[in-house]
Amino acid sequence: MRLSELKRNEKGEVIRISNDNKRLRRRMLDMGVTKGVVIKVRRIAPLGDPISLELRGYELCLRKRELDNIEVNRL
Amino acid sequence: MKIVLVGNQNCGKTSLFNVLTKEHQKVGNWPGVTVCKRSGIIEGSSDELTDLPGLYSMYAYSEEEKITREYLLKEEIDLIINVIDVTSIERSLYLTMQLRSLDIPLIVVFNMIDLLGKEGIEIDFKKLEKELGVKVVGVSSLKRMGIETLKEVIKGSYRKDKIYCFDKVIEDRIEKISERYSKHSYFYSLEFLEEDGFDEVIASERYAYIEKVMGSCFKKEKKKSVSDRLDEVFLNRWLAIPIFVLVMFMVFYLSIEIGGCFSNKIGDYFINGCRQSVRFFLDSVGVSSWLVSLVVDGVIQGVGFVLLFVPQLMILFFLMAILEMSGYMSRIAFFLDMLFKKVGLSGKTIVPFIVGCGCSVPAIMATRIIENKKERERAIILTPFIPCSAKLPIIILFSSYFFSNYFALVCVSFYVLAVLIILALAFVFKKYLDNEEDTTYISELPKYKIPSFKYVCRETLEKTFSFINRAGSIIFVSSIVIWFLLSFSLHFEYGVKVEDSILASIGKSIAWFFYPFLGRTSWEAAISSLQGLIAKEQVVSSLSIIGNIKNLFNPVSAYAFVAFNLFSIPCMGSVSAMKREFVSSKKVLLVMGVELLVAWLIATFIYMISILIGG
Repeated sequence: MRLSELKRNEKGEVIRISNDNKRLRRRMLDMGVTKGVVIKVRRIAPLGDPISLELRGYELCLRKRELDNIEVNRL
Repeated sequence: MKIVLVGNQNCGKTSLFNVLTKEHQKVGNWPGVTVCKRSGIIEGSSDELTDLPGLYSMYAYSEEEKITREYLLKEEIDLIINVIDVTSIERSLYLTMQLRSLDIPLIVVFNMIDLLGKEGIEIDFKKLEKELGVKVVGVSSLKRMGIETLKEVIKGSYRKDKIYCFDKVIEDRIEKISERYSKHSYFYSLEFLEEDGFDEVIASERYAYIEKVMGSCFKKEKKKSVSDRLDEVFLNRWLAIPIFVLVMFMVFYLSIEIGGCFSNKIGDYFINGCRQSVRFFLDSVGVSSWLVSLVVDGVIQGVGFVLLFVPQLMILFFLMAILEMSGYMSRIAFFLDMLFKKVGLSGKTIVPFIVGCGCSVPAIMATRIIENKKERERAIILTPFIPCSAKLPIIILFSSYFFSNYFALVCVSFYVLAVLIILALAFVFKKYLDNEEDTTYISELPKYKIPSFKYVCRETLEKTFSFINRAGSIIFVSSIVIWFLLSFSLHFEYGVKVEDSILASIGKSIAWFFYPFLGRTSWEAAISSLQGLIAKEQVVSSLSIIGNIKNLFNPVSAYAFVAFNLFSIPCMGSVSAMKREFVSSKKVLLVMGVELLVAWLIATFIYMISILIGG
């Protein structure tokens, strides 16, 4: 399933990152969104987007559209 | 020796820089406080220390990150001090791994170790040194812990032991490629492989290695941090935006009201008192009358009038510093992103906007944190529309003269107007100038930090001094010039009627431009707006020398006149900052033209509507 489908406080393990935007994909890798990492949906912004994720001990904010490109296994 | 400080955005590099060099650079708790490099000498040595903009990865994503990348790869550097924020170690070590691959000696510094207990973290520094293969030091710049140890380490020799981070396939390839590069060969080889489709493997293996290090050198208790609890409120679905509006309202309301208590009550009294006693003194020692007038009517009136606004500005600077250092700014960017996205801006634009309440020049530089070029250009154009602290005196003066009953509310209304205009303009840019394009938002949400009282006060005083300094230099000179132009006629006769002065003649030639929103031809208003181009506080200074503001305007034209000055071409400082970022004079001229037009239209619109409604 997609990371964007997880609800608040749910966790998922990243299986695949498929993003056409090469630069953004690279940045996400650098920020720690790599295969196997466990991501928790921490918070959804009051207006519905972006979304704050918890991974590797810190909080990262991304827009929903970017989360569509991350495939996860719900834990 | 040439040493550089490198680390993630917001990791506390600048506070460490300040402690090591005894300098007072600005610190804050939002990504991108340092957007250009700065250098100083480490106290007690001859080593030059450079503070570079923060970056998360050597694969630069924004302008500020590019600055650091280029600097590290091109310059001759003797030592990198890699600063790590103990509240997000795992991600920070990713950059450490990249820095390791450069041909530059490296020391890793864990900053803010005073927070370790609070965060429930234990670090085994000995083991960590072995795992990372470089020297590791723990410091706290705030509490001045470990600083002397760090200085000793800097003086010592540095080792960089080989560590095995990648598997054999990658290492073998690196070996093959590395001959191609004469410098930083390990780094460039890795980068070559990353470009060649190995980016995911390399990133994963780096993180896998870090996870291993984390497992053996760190212990962390699971507990709900204060930051989390605060975010339950500040990022609450229903409360976030009302709280934000309230916070911003309070910042301006408090500065204007509390500060106003001092300046409004004693202001006129104080200036008149000064003028009378100085006049009396100069007369009594027999100074000629024109010189007395120059000092009293020109300098004291012009400079003193601007200084009256110091209390308001001090409170504004104080509150803004707290806001900047607390970590709240990143939250605002987070929840406004959706709204900003609709008008083609990044949520991060809020950072230059808030900095812009102080001064547009650093605010325009702060746009470097916005990755997308178009979004950044729009942010540069729109930032000067935020009323800066030099414009605050204009707002306060006119609101107190013409709207004394609703004084503070009218003041705040100008800020609301500014926000509406910015959103409207951004929407127009997006709709008619560019087609849809893919923009992204990727940002860290740093933990809240209690602002250090020392830094908040220092920041407040520095900004206040810079304002006073301007009053003593630019405004001082301008006041003298105005006095001359006001006291002499075109035929250089002294003591002519004000209407026959040189100033009046110049003003009259451009007064027509202001007619549509003042409802009369006023050379006084025209001339002071013109001077606003030098520095915005000059508008009030100039009007106070020319005199009789109450007779020149009525409430409607006063409001329109303030709006015009807020939104028209910003001061020369901002224009040159804009030019630095755009690198194109043509673009800047175009922007200036647009600003003039927008301001004129808004002012005229306000005037016309009020006349229509009020009759």
